[in-house]
Amino acid sequence: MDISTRLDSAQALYDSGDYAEAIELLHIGRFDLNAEVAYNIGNCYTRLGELGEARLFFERALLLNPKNADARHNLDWIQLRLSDAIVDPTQSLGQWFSIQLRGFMPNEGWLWSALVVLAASSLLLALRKWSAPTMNWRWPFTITTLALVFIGLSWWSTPKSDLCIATAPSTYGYSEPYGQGKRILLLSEGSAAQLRKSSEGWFFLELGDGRLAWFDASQWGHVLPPEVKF
Amino acid sequence: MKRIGKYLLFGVLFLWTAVAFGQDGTLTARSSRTTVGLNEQFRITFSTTERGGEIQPPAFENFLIVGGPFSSQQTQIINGSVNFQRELTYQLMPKEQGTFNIPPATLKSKNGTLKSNTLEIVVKAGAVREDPMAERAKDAFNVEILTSKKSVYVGEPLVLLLRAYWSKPLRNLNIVQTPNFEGVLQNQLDVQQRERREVIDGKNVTVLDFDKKLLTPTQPGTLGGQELKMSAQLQVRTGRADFWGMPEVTFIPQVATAKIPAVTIKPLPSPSPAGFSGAVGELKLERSLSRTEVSGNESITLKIRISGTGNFNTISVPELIAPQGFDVYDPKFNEKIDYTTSGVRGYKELEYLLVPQFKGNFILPEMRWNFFNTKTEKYEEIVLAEESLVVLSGAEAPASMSPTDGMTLQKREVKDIDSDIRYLQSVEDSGTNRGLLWKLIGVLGITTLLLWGLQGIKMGGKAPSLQAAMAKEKKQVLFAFEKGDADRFGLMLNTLENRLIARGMTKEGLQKSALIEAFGPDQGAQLHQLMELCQMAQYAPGAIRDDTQVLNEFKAIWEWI
Repeated sequence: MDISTRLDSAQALYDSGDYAEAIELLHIGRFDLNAEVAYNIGNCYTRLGELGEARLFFERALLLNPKNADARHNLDWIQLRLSDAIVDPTQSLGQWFSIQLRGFMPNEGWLWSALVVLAASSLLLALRKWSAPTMNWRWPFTITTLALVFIGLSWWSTPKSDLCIATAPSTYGYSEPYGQGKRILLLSEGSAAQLRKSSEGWFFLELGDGRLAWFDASQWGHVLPPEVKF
Repeated sequence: MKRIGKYLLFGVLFLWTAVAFGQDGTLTARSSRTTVGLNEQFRITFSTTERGGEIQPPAFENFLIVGGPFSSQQTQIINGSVNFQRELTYQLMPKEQGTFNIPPATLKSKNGTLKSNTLEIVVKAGAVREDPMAERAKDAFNVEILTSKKSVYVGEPLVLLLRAYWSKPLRNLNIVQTPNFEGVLQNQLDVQQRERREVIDGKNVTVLDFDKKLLTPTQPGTLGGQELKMSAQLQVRTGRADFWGMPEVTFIPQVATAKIPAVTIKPLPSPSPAGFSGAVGELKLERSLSRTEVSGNESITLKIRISGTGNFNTISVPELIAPQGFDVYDPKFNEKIDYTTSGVRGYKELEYLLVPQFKGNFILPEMRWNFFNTKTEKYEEIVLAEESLVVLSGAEAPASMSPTDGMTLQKREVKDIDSDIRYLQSVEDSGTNRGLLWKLIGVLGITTLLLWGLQGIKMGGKAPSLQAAMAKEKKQVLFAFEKGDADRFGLMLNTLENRLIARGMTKEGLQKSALIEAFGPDQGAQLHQLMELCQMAQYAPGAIRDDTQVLNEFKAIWEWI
């Protein structure tokens, strides 16, 4: 089944109320990091009443495309119903800047810009070498600098996130990994935390209020799975 | 006359002072006895004739100071001779048998440092004097250390009570040596020092509990340390009667000793379970809720309490795992602990106030707590099961969690979903392969880098030599003439002017006279003519028919310019 057929089938399943099957069809390789696909999967989970998973995918949709107003709307709707979740972790300045960049232009746009300006820089340098030796060196220098700036912005606008969302109805936090140590926290579905480190199926997470605990990784979802590379 | 009298008076005073204070200072030590028995007291006195300075006593290493220092001084005038003496006295008691030297005391004064003599004291076990009154005082004064347990585990608290009792009136009750314990944590406990009458071993005695300590062993073994010693003066009858026929009494000094009780400290079984709290004893953990169903404007009081017998001095109440959906305020701490000779008994409690934030069902999480039970001699785990808290009214938050099966997937009710949630979005495949784009950027980046390398711009290198710079400038002019650039004459003029400026001439000063002065009449005139020609050619390019002649002239001038 090609991609467009799968997407059409998923839409049909969604319309007929077969949300679980629609989710299976929407998980298509490289499309896992497509903002619209993540949004649609989030919708399916919302319909299933699994608001933790739904939040995870709406967060992913917004990470990939901060201008996705529908994802923002649905995430707000979800969060109203996840009012028993803890305070969300605060965004770092770097993450904020990255979101602003993607809001201005998608990551691909920055990459294409960097490529074009870099090509222009190479062209000018070649001209100066073999065709116009009297050309002032400041021209290629300025264009090369601009290309470097665009490369930097491309890197910065690449979505990055260490945010995890609790997808199980409730999840215990332990003072030690592997279920050892004391139970020190109980979080409900949809709670968000930042991943600090992981160890063989256990996440060491920092909550929005600064508390730290080990959690069973199977009860959490990573907004940007580390195994998926851009 | 008056003045002579004044001088005479000063003279007499000076002589008297010289006689009185001019004598050589001495420092001597003496002992009331040179041979003593164990538990017998004696006095050491240091005497000096020096008025200034302070007598520094030696370290009485093998003796206990049971009294003093007592200081005294006296001045005697006999037949006009003034004698001054001051003394420092210590009352000592030997710690063990043997022959010991008491080192000299020192005194620093304006006459230098004085040292006393060394004293040799022989301590014998059987050197107790045959004193009938001492015999009567014997066994009339005793001390003992009472312990709450004879065998404890590491971490299990132990209460020690220090007690003195006597059957005859006494005075000057003193602690000569406080017991110090090894390998334990010590806490001082309050004790009411009140004398009472009791019958011990068939004798009516006065009992005083004067100290109470809580010991928490930190290592296995046997409780050890320095024994307790106390001194007192006991009132005994001399056997004589006074003028009115009343029996005469005297006070006999006595020392009583109590050894550290034999307490076995057992190690805790190893390994301890994960999450072991360090609590040891016969303990209970309880959690109580004032209610489990509340309306939105009510609150719940939750108490977590550890009670029983155990190491309350070191354990802490496990903290609450806060339930979601509630504001949990800082807990209030309550405790009631009794330290008795039968052990440490009581409770410690944390009292929380939970205020609901939203309407709905919430889980009060399960709590687990491990401790070592000294009765069963095993580690035990207390599990407080999850409980459900129901908030009947309040802000809308239709979240529900199963109180009995919290870890299974529990779906939430999603009301009004059709009217609220937005519909699916069409997926557009941009077809952009970010990986490929990054590779292209890499390739172009390397190309740009190489091209920069080929430009010959040396970053941070040496400035090009004059010859190289001139050769480059000449090359650019020749290249412009070869291509027939419209601006070739302008370039030639600029090149010449720049070279002259580089030689130190100003642009405004490039007149014929200045050029002749700089290069001589022929070369100066030739250079000026070429520059005039270039200037003219800029405005009237057709005026120059043959570029080659001009170029040759430029090459010739460039050689000597």
